[in-house]
Amino acid sequence: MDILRDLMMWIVQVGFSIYAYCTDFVICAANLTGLSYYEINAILFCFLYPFVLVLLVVLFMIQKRRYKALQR
Amino acid sequence: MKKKQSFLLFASILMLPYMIMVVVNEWSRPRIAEKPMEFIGVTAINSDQYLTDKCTWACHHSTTKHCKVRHVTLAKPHFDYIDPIYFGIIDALHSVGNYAIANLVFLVVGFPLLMFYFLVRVIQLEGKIRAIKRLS
Repeated sequence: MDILRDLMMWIVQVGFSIYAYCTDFVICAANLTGLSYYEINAILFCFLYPFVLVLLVVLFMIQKRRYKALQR
Repeated sequence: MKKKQSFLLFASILMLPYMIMVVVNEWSRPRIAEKPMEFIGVTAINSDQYLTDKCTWACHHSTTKHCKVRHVTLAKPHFDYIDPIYFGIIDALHSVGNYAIANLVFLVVGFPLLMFYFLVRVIQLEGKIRAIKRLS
């Protein structure tokens, strides 16, 4: 059980390290671009992520339809 | 496209955002004069001082009272539209239990992997469509 607990602690610790590194990226990107932490976060996670995801899903559906039409 | 070529293409597409993150962080690291923040045994790159001229971890800890007041310029007229989405995402991640781990699972791994999956499928389908057109 101790090994399991140690493993869990290690996973959480690594998780926190990666989280800190990602947050540092947003802060560094904000300072490099002259924008703020809030703005970079908003651009990335409120606009870019949903936009790219929806765009790719739509493109995928179009491509699938084109492929099926060509197969017939 | 040959298997090795497509593997390299897909691997580079997947790695590119993470590479950009490493380049930005490692380029910035030696240029930061303030003492880096430490929490739960982790040493960050940026400090947690409340500075007026640049963003730090203070902006992460106190987005509304510090970052939005001191640093935000472009988004200022759009708070009414952005805030519900921005803080909605944060509240949703908090509701999972562990905010940091939820952030990693959804925003660093989950969503990028989902986007990567659809991008790979789109490229593969384009290849198949071109192959059919070439034959006909």
